[in-house]
Parts: sequence; C-alpha cells; structure tokens
Amino acid sequence: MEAIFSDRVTEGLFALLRIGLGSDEAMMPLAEGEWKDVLTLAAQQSVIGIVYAGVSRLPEDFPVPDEVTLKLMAEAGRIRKRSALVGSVLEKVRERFPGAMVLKGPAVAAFYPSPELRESGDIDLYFPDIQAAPTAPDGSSHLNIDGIDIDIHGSYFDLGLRPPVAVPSPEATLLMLSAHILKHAFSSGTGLRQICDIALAYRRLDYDEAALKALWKDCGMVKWSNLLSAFIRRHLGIEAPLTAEGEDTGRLLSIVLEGGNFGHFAASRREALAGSAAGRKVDTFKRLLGKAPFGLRYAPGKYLWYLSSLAKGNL
Amino acid sequence: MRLRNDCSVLSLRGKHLLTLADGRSFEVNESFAFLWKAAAAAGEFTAETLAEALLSEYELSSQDALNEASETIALWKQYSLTE
Repeated sequence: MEAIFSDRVTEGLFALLRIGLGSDEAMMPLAEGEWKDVLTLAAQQSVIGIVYAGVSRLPEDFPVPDEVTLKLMAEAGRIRKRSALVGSVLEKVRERFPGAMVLKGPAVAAFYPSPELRESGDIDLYFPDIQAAPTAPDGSSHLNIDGIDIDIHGSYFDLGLRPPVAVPSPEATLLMLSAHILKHAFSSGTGLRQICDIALAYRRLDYDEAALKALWKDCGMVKWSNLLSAFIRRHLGIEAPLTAEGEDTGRLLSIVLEGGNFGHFAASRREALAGSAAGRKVDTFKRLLGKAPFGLRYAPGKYLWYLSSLAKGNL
Repeated sequence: MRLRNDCSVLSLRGKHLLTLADGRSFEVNESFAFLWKAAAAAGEFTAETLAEALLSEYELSSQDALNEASETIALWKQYSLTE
C-alpha cells in the first residue's frame, strides 16, 4: 500500500526544502501528524538532510514537535557519516583512477549550502579514455570500495547521442543532470533529490543560457527542460531557464510523488527490486510504457530511444 | 585524550543528540553537548581544558567546573567514547 500525502504535507515539505536551501520565507504551521508525514515523505525523496537544514533555520519559537527534532538530528548524523565515507572513498578513487570524471552524486554535493547533508548514494564514474576504465574481477563495470558501490558509465550523457559541447563544462553538467532525471522520470521514477541537484547546479554554475537552450534543441529536450525549470522555480524557488511561461508542473509532481527516490518507494517497484534482474527489466519496461503520454508530450525522441534501448537490453 | 571520531553530538532547537558508531542515538543534556563540542574543537583535551571552556561560557566556580568536566569525561570513558 503506498502512502498518500495531503497537499499540506507536500507543501510543508517544499517550504522546508526552500528554507533549507536558503529562502527566508515564513514556514507554514503543521500539526504533529503532518510533521511526521513530512519526514516520511522527505525520507522517501532522499531529502531529509535538507529538511534538517530547513528546520535549523526556523525561528526558535516556531513549534516543531520534539520527536521530529530528535528524528531529524539522528538522520542528519547518519547522512553526515555516509557523506564522510563517500568522501574518503572518492579520495581513493581519484588516487587510483586519475583519468576518471565523477558524475552526479558527490560532484553535485558541492553545489549544496551544506554538502555533507546531501544524501549520498553510489559513485558514478565516466572515463573519457575508455581504455583507462577499470573492470571488476567478474568483468562487470561495477566496483565496490569500502562498501560503496561504484558504477562505470560508458557515456557522459544518458542521451544516445554525443551533443556538441565540451565535457566537462557547466552546460554539459546541466544537460547530463537533466537527461538523468528524464531517464528516471520515464522509467523507474525520479525524486526530489535529483531535482534539488540540478536546481542547485543552476544556482551555482556560471552557464551560458543561450548555449544551453541550443543544446536542449539539438537533443530534443526543449519541452522537457522547460517543464523541469518550471518545476524548480515553482516548488524550490530557484531560478532556472525557461523557454515558455505557464507550464503545468502537475504531471512531473505526480511522477515525483508516485515513487520517491528513483521510484524505489512505489509498491510495484519495491517488489520488482526484491526480485530477479529479468523481473526488474520487465517492471522498468511496463513503467516506460505507462509513461507514454508523458514521454511523447515532453521528449518524444528521447522516449522512443529509451524504449528501443530497453527492448534491446541496453538500458 | 581525544573523542572517538565515529561518534557525534548534534544540537537542534535546544535538543542534543549523541550518535554512536553503531548508529544508536541518545538524547543528552546541554552540559554534555557543550563539553563534547569543546572537546571536539580542542582535539586533544584534559579535564582542565574542558573546565576552562565551561568557565568561559557559564558562571561557575573553578572547582565546580573541574568537577563537572571530570565527571563528564569519566562518563565518556565508561561508554568508550574516548580514545
């Protein structure tokens, strides 16, 4: 059974994210049960560290249940510890593989006001010189150092093409983050952590807006990028480039709330993740088909590419 | 002596939480949290170091500060929070 959260809980979470990311807006009061639901939703979306930062910026006399305060501190302690571990593994990775570029995760944590409060997952690496890429003893492109999974990616972008942009560059980073969210929005599901990542990249990177929009056009991602920017502006209060005003962000919000971080909290996805690799692929394919109206509306070329890639077993 | 670096104390809205290496957490009082942070900032510390920190923040006699610091350090040692 999947949890359904009220609009007040969803709005409360977004307000705390905005405050945690630097906004000085006033927080809406929440009942004790709503606070607990905000924490559950934040955990599903892997943004509880930002909620901790948000609560730490509320006025001292703003009512927050003690139980919530203690839970947030415990979670923040856990996240900081994991961040420190990922940081130490990253040092080893840079030492052992000097030709590696770090994608997403730790690379975007630096954009956060408190990088150690961004929930760390795996480490994703890309090797411009593929010959320099290591392989695990079993021949796969997955490594594990000190308990942290490391994935070696064959391409910088999840796009099926090589856009005309230098890698790394601010525009390439923004395109890579957007394409990653799009891929997950189409398939397993995406969450607020990924969207906070790109929102903060928009805030922190000194990018050329015209060049970025030209890349969107080259890659068939104009409508998708506009939707993502509208979502970031509306829900996170962070400036992001638009190509058109008045985009309805409801479709993306539904996808985000449906499954949380990488869709792992959707009931059917949880079952699939616990099953076989073949079962996961079937589940991903079903999800991709279910997203046809969304995909064909916002990035039809990319949607059909993902569909054919998955059918061929490459996704 | 030093604090173990795999344990931490966080403070939020007047509450203080000690998190141990195994992930367990315990609410602690303000004095505990203050001394923990002073010890963490000092790196190497003694009862005298922490008593000085207490005196800089609270109105206490030197003897009371030393007693408080010594008792807290004894508690940390008892629960293996120092190394």
